[in-house]
Amino acid sequence: MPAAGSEGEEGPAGAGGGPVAEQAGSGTPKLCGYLQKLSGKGPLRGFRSRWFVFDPRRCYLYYFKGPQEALPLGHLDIASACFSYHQPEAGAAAAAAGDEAAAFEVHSPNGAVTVLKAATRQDMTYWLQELQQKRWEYCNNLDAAKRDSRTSPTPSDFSKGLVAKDNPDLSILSQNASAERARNILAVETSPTDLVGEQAASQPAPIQPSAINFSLKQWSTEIKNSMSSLRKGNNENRKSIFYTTEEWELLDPTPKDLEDSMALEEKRKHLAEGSKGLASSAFPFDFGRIPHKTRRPLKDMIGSSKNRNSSDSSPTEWYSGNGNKLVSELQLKYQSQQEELEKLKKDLLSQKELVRLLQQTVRSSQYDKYFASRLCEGVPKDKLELLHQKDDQILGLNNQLEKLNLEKDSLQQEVKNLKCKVGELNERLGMLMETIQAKDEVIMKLSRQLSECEDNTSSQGGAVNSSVATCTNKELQELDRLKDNLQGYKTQNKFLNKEILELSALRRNAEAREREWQAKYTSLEAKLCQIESKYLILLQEMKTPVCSEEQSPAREVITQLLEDALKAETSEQPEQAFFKPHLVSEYDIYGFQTVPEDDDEEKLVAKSRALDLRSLSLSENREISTGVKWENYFASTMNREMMRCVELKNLIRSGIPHEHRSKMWKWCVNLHVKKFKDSTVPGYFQTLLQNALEKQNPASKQIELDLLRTLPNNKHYSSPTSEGIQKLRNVLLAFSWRNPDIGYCQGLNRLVAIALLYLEQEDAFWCLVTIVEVFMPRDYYTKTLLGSQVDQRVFKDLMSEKLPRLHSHFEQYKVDYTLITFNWFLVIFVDSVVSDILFKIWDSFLYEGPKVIFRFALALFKYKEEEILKLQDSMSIFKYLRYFTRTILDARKLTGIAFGDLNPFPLRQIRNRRTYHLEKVRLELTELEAIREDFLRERDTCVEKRDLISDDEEDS
Amino acid sequence: MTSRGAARPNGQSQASKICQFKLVLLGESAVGKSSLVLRFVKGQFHEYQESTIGAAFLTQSVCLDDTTVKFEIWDTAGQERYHSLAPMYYRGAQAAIVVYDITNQETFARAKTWVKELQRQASPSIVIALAGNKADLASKRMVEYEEAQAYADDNSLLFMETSAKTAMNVNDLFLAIAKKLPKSEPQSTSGAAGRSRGVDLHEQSQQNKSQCCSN
Repeated sequence: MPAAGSEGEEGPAGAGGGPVAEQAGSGTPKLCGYLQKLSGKGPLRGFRSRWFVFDPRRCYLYYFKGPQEALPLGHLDIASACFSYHQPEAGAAAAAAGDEAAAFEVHSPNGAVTVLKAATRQDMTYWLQELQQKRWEYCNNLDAAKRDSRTSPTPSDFSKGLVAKDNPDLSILSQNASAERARNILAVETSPTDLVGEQAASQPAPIQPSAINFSLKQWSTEIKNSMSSLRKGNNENRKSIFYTTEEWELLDPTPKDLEDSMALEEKRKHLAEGSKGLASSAFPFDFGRIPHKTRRPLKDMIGSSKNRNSSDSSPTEWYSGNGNKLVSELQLKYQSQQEELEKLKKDLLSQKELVRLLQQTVRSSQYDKYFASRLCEGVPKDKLELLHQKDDQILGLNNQLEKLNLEKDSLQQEVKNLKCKVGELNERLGMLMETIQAKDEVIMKLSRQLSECEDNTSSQGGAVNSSVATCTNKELQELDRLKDNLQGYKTQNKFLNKEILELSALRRNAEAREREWQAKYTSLEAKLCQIESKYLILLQEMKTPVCSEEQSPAREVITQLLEDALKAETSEQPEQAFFKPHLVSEYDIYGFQTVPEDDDEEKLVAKSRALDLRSLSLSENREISTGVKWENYFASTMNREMMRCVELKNLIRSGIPHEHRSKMWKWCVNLHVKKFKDSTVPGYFQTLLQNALEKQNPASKQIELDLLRTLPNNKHYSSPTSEGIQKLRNVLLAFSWRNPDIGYCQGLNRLVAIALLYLEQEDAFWCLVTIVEVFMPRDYYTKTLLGSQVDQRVFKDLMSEKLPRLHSHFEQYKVDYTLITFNWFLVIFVDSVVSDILFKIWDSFLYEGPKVIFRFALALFKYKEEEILKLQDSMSIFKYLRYFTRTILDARKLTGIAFGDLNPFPLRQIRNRRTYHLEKVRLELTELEAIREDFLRERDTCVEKRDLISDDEEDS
Repeated sequence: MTSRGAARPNGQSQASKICQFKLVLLGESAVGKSSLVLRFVKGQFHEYQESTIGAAFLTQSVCLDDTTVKFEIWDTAGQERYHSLAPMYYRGAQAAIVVYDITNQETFARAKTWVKELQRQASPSIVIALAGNKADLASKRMVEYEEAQAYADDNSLLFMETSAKTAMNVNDLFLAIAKKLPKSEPQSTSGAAGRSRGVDLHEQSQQNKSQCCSN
């Protein structure tokens, strides 16, 4: 474990403690957070704190100065990068050993190495895991996307509207399955700290991020990791260690414990020495718990415990612990026995003394008796009597002596017995002592082995060995540190293994892809050669025209080419299907049919148009496409709200990429209808819709008639059961209730249908409100379409100003082009231009407003100005006008004209013109209406009763 | 159907005259105006024909004896509020087809008002044809053939029941109109509103301009 001092340095980084990662939108949490980046040169080289944000769309890791910054300082391409742990340089190693532990490297394909440093090792692991994961996902998606540039490689995280849901199947190739499995096995559980995730943005950048923040959380995670990953292998080891701790409770012994155990040890040794060679007999100690083991020879025991796996050390430890208790018991009993013996010895001595005294008394009394007998003869009777008495006394004393002797004998016998017992005890004790010693040795040996083998705790040895006890703490720390390192290396090793595995899998995929490309390239080249040869034959034939109309080889070639062209998309040889480039699919990304089904003439034109579009988009992709600009823009707005600005306007003018369109359209619509929305009650749309579904209004009938006649060439509206039809009905009905003045006007259905491709029902409703009530002048869609008619006059004025040559050309041939352009304005080019351009027009239209229509209408004419000028009669001009808009494919050129060549383009001018023409048109319409009414009145009075009821007349 | 080949001559035949006529289709919404045109021009039929906004412009030629008749067809939107645009389209038209739906009485009534409006405001020489479309849906018929025929006779209109779906009478209708049009005068500049066209395909046709007016 690193020095305890580091805990004090747990600075701002550890503060907070909120949720780990915020759920961004509906998808996965955004991968972002603070990291330290090694940058600078020379003496300035060092780690700098940067705010990193991963962008899944391009698989880039952007870095900013801070979370609030708009522009990234740069980015790392994760898709083609590989990762490794950062090995500190030799010199700096010692000083920054702790810091470098959390540093890792990102190797870019161009050889550049970026060194990043996370606040903690755990963070680093998290980052690495996530980045690996992202790279994996991205690369696999790349495979799945089939390199079709028209489908977005990344799924849009904003799935709204009908089209936006049409993401290609991102199925992972089966060849990756095994790699995937391996990845899962090698995965390391990680949980990021507060420096990762969006909420980290609100926190200050870590001031001293080099400090090692070893929180308890991290420690627990590491343990968790080790437990989960080592479940099979050395888990037993760990178990035994934990058991040891439970049994001994000496893992962290206090000094007192150590002293106690030392004293005990000393005592035990003494006793063992002092009580050898005693025979055993009825030994009072209970060995019943492990009887057979006690009887086993010691050597055997040691041997077996040596042979046994170290995991079996627990019983031995238990046994020796038990032995300790036995010895102390034994000692106590032994002591009491000895005391008893001493007492008995003293007893015996006093008895002996007593006997000696008695004997002396007997001897002196005998002596007395002798004198007395001698005296008896000569002494008086009373004296004799006294003598007799004395004799009796002597006799009694003798008896007593005898008794005492007997007693002495029995006592001596007892002493002998006791001595025997003591000897026996001592012998037993000695044996036990020996056992204990042997066991101690075994324990010491084992613990030493243990500590040597596994760098394991030396607490056991420390506890037992008094000489080690002093340095136990140090060793413990050392051990912890080593364990830590081991864990770290294990994680690193696992990570690097996974990295290797993944890189090789990616390489395999890349190879497969390359092979596939090679094959495709070859087949394409072959095809090209075929076509070229046919083309050359044709040219040859053209050069030398053969008069006969009937059968020239050229004609044959042409018919064959025609056949080929139409056949190509339908019949595909199955074995070639894989290599065949899917140049034109049946539907474009918007759901429109690319080639009409039943029109052979149109088919060829449509096909060539689709191919042209494809080649355009392919060549466009080679340059820095608008997609990149959008990525950069989103990267810059990653941290803030989108705002109206010139940058965004220009970006939108170049077209919103498919995957962002839902989001951007919704944003635009909300921008414009905010004031309306704010004034409505919540659930406004639902109320309207409810109302509309319950009750009929004059518009309902016409709406119903038009539902299936709306964009029938789009698959989302192609059948009565299509999801789009229901939504279309809802939106149109709701709007007819919101705006009864307009109710429903043919054309609104197309607007809604287009909006619904990218927006949800309610947003599409507000989109319609935006167009009708915010953008367009009043009466644009009302009864007389007054506003629309006015705009055509305005447009004529603009034509004469901006494209005078064309205008006079039309004048010359009396071509009223407003008959054609009327549609463009009313339904904002729906059905007039190819879908790619249509949606680009709508992008800027929804952002900027109706002026965009004028711009594009003029631009379309300008684009084909020369061609129109070549036409010399009204019919061909009309014919050309009818379809020429669909032949314009180059959106970039068109946009360039619309927003560049036509400038200046003041809105004020349009407004003035509108006011000017409004009065004129209104007058004309009133005049016309007057004539019509006159006529109707006349007819009414004339003959039959009227039975005409039209929806609009019901209105009024 | 009867003369598809004649109606769709792609190659320039030996026809000596080329006449050009402006024809406009009018009628209530969803009666099948666009479908009739599509059937006539492209020989196609779509169950769900996209509703027309404003007007659609198409061309088709038919061969009549020695004349090629070029139709410049303006297919207008049916919804009432597009009515105010109609004069722009029928102005200068030499022919008009007023279409109604035989399964819907209202559309017939509306057709009648269109006829009246044309008679009043369009070129006096305009050839008006009445087409009862959706004849394939005879089981749902609401407008009797005789009723419509009588009305047509009263107003001297061409009348046919047609079906864009089955192509019944479609080409015949256009052929009948072509026949009725003054072939000698393909370039009419004398329409009521005077929207003329400046293309002169055949010089000789210019001379007879006035004839049309006097008809």
